Amino acid sequence: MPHVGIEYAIMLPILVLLIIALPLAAGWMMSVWTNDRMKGEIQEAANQVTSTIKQLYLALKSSNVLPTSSPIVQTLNLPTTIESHPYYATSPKSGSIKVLNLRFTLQGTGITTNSSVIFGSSVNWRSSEFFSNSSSARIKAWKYSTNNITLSFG
Amino acid sequence: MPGATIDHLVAVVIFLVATLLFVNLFSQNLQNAILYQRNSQLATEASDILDSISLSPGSLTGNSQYWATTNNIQNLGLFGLQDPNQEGYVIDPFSLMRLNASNAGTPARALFNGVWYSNVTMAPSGSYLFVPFSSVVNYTRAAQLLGINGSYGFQLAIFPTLNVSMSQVRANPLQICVTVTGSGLPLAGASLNYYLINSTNGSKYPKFQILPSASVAYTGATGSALLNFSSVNAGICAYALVVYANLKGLSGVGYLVSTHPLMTNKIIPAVGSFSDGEGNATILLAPSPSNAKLSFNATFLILCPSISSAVQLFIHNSTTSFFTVTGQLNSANQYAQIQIPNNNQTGILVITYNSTATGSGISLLPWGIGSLGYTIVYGSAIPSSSNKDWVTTDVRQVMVAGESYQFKMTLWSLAGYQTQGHSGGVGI
Repeated sequence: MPHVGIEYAIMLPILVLLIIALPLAAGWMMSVWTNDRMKGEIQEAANQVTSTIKQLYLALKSSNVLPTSSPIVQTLNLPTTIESHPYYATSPKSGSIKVLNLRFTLQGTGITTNSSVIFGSSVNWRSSEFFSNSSSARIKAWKYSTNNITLSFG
Repeated sequence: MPGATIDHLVAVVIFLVATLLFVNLFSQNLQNAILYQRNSQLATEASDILDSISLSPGSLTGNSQYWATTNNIQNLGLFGLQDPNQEGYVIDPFSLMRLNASNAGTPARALFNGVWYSNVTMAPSGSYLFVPFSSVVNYTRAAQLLGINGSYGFQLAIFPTLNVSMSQVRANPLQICVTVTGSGLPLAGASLNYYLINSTNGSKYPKFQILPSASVAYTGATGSALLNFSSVNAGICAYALVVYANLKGLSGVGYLVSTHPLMTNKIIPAVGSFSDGEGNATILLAPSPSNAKLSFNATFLILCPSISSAVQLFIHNSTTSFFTVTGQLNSANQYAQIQIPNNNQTGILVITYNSTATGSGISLLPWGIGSLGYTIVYGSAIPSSSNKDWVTTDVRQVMVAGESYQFKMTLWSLAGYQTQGHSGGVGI
């Protein structure tokens, strides 16, 4: 019966290897998937933020919208965390702006993404930061009598 | 014990196959989920870019929004096509003239000045829109200004909601069949207002007259109507018919040009410059190379929408010679230079011409896309379906020079996301 002994000698290590390799492979795939999903989620959140800023700007630009003394506040229907990680956006300094570039970072993962909004003339950006799990996860807008529009987070 | 050995071998093989199947199916499911997410983002992006273009007039670096009526297009700082004098989804007919349209005909080089022109001329023949390449915005520049160069490819199609086509049924007296269609369907009950621009030989320069519609015509059940002109013999004159259709708030325009067979394409207009600094644009009239001597009459007709929503054509300030220019062209290298007002009023430049030896002819130049119902396709070619690229589209109903148009954006990612499989863009 020498063959059976050899078979067991071969099969057992293979089975042990598979027992270790399968969970590792599944874990690796899940990790890759989660990573991609997080990238997609934060990109989607970034697009939604910039899209909302753009829509707010286009709405305020209309002459039908009169100047406001208090800011118009637009809340964002975004998840506060992505896979339990909060995210934040950094914006440029205050001043006149034609293109707003925002950099979004998913805390604790090193995942970042960029999104931008192109405005017309007479737009100011007030330096501010966006934190998904705070009260700053909103967009504020002011329209002045000069038809200038100021936007910020907060 | 060969039986046990075979059992073991079969079991191991089955186990490995099952493992591979599991890995493959698992990764495919995950990949599809990621692709769905990315394609959803692409749809949002298409909508955003379409709004950016159609709700922003764009501007030069000096903040002027009237970039489409200036010569210094190199200073374009923001790309947008909204009419700067309007709000909402109203597209500037002059901005559309400044696009290097990809549906255009073959680029043409003028013999008289050596300049290359973007050829937006559409069928049927008889109307021309040649714009110098130095005066149009190309696709790469627009993508850079939109901030999507290298990340997304796009194509814009701006086409009339109502298609107004026509054909000559009888020459003497002139009878023309006009057909109005929507998205492939004939439209019954559309009201038709029209103007027949009629040219006959005059003593020195061609005579020119506009015959407005005596009454409003309506399309029948087949979407067609017959228009009769009892005083016009198309056999001895050249004519251009411009028809404005209106149906339940939607409006469209179509045209038909008929010239003597020997006088087709004898004078071709081209844009010389969009601004001479005094509120005028310059149009160059070039004769066909084979032609010897032509007399012409160039008249600019301004489009004025009336209260009844029917468009009216006016010869602006016709008592002066400013908008009606006559002249003669004697050789292929000679060209006439005329000026038309560049004050954000759309219109049609009508050039009637004749030769003493033959008959007369007509050329039209739309001043503003929409004056003659042109279609513009702008941007890159849409990836073929064999590439499996995910392509998303979005549409807006817009107005261009008082005409109803559809503004369609087609967008795709350049990162390699596909409808199935992957080419490096997806991490799994």
